[in-house]
Amino acid sequence: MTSSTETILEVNNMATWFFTSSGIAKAVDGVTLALKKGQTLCIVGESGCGKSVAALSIMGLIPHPGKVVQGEVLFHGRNVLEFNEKQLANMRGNQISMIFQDPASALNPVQTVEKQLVEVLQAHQAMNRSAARKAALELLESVGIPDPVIRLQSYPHELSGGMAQRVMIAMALACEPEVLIADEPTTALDVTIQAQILELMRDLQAKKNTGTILITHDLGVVAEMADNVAVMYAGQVVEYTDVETLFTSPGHPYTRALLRSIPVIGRRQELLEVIKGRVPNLVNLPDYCRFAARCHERDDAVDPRCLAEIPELTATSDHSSSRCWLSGN
Amino acid sequence: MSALVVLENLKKHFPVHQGFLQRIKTHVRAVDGVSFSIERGETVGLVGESGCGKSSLGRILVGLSQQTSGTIHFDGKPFVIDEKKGNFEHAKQIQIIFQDPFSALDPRMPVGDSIAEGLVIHGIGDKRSRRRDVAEMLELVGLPTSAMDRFPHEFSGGQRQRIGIARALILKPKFVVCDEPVSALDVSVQAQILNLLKQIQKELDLALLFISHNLAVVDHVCDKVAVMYLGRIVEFASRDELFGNPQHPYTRALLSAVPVADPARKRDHILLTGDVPSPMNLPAGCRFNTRCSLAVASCSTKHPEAREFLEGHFVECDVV
Repeated sequence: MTSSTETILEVNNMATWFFTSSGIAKAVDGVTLALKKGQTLCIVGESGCGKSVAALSIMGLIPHPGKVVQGEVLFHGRNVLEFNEKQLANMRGNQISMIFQDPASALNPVQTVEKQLVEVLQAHQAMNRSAARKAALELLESVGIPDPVIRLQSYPHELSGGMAQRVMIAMALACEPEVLIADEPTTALDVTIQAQILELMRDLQAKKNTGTILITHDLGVVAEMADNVAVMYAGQVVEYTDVETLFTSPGHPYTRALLRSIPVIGRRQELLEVIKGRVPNLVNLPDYCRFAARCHERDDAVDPRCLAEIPELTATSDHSSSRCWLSGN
Repeated sequence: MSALVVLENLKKHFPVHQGFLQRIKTHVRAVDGVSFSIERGETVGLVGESGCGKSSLGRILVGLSQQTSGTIHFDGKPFVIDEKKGNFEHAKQIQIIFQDPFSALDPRMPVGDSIAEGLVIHGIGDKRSRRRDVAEMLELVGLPTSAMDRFPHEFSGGQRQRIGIARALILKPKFVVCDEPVSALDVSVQAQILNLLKQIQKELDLALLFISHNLAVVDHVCDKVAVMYLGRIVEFASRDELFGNPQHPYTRALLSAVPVADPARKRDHILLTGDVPSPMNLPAGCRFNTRCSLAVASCSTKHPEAREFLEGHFVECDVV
C-alpha cells in the first residue's frame, strides 16, 4: 500500500499454448498485466483458468509441450521471454523469485534447510560459506521461525506445513528480489497458519518494497492482500481493477457471479448462487465471449455480440477494465 | 424423543510403535473425550484445523474405525457394527461422503455399480429394482440416468461428488457424515454441491455431521457447530451463538483468521503464535494454553471442564 508508482514488471499480450495430441490448449491467451513496486497484484480464478501457467511463463518455466507463443514480459525494460538459459537462471531467485503452493514438495527432502538456503545465497551472491550460513540464520529469524539455530539443521519432513512455507519464503527472499510470485502460498495451510503467513508476507513487503504477484482462488485472501486484481477466465483476463472496485462494483458478470457464489460468514441466505455449466474446453474455445455460455446477464435480444464476437478488455473507469460487451462498450 | 446420535466421552488413541521390537511407545490421542449429540434432521458442523481429530471422529461414527473407549448411541440403541455376527443394521443407516471425489470411486467400476454397491452388500432388491433405485438417486443428485453406465473418469469433480452423494444416500440412511465434501472443489462448483446437500437434507429429513475447516461453509449449512482442538470439543453452540457470540479463545482466533471478502473491513486478526502441538505429546492442563492469549498460570496445570455458558452453548475454558 505504498504510493510508489514505478512499474517493475509488465506483461504484454502474452499467450502460452500447449501443443497436445488432442489439439492446441490455449492455457494463457493474450494476458496483459502490470506490477508496481511495493504493490500486490492478485490473479484470481478457478482451476484451469491459466493463472499458474501465466506465472510460470513469466519465470520461463513452461514445460514441454507448452510454449509462450506471443507477447512480451518486460522487466526493467528487457524482455524476459528472449532471455537465454543463463540469463534466466541469473534472474530466477535473484530478481524474480517464486513461492509454490505445496512447500513440502518444493523443498529438497534430502538436504537440510541450511544447505538449501546456503545454496541459493552462494549461487547468486558472492558470499563465502560462513557468511552465507550467517545470512541463512538471519533469514530464518526474519520469517519468524522459532529456534532458528536448530531449524537450520532440520530436514523438510521435520517441519510443519506452516514452518516449511516460512522456509520457502525465506528462500524466495534470500536475494531480496524485486518481484515475488506466490502461487497459492497458503492454500495447503490451516486458517490460523494462513493468517500468520499472510501477515508475514505483508510485513516483508512493507520492509523490502517488493512487488508481489499473488495467485489465489480465495476472494478473502484477495480482499486482504491485493492492491490490484486480475480476474482470469479460460486463459484471459476478464476483469482488471483495483481491489476496492472489485468488491464494491465488479465490472464483469463472471466476477459478480463468483462473488455471489461464495458463502460469507454472517450473510444468511438459503441457497448460494450457482454459475451454471462448465468452463469451456481450452482446446476448443468458442470464437465469441468465453463466458457467454454460462453468463446470467447475457440477453441476445439486447446484445447479439455476446455469441458472435470476442470482447476486448476495455476500460470502464480510470482504474478498471472489463472484457464484456455489456459493460461500457 | 432422544437425539438421533449421542456421543459420550468418545476416545480414539492410536498406538505409536517404536524401536526394534516395535513396542508401543506412546499414543496419539486423536479423539480424547468427546461428548455431544445430533438431533434428527439437524446439521452439526465440526470445525478444526488439520490433525485436530475431526476426521478420526467421523470415521468412528460410520464404523470405519473402532473407538478406544466411550459410547455412541444411535436412535436410542448402542451403536454396533459387528462383522463376525453380521450385524450391519447401523451400517445401513449411517453413511459417509468423502472429501476427494477422485479417489472415492473405483475407476474400473461403472458409476451405476458403484452407487448400487451398498444395495448388493445388504442384499436389497434384485438387479432390476437396483437399477431403478440407482436411476432415482441419479435424478435426485441432478445427473442424467445415462450416467450409470459410464465410468468415473468421464465426470468432472463436481459431478463425481454428486455420484458420491448418490452412493451415500441409496440405502436411505438417517445420518450422513460429510467429511470435507466441498474442499476439493472450485468455488462455483462448491456452491452447486452445498445447495444440493441442503435441498436433499430437507427432502429426506437427514441428520448430517458436516466436517470442514471452512468456517464460511459451516456457517452456511449448519444448525449447530462443534469446534475441535487437539481431540477435544472446546466449544459447542448453535450457529448463531457460535458465530455471533464466540466464547472460547480458540474459536475467536479461528474466526478472526478467516480472510473476509471485503477490503473495507478492518484487519484485526487475533494472530495465534506457533503451530498446533503434536497430539502425541499434549501440553499439560488446557490443550490450548500454549497458544492462548488469555492463558493464566492455572491453565497449564488444570484441565478445564466443559460448562454450559448459556443454554445449549458449551465452552471448555476456565478463563472466559
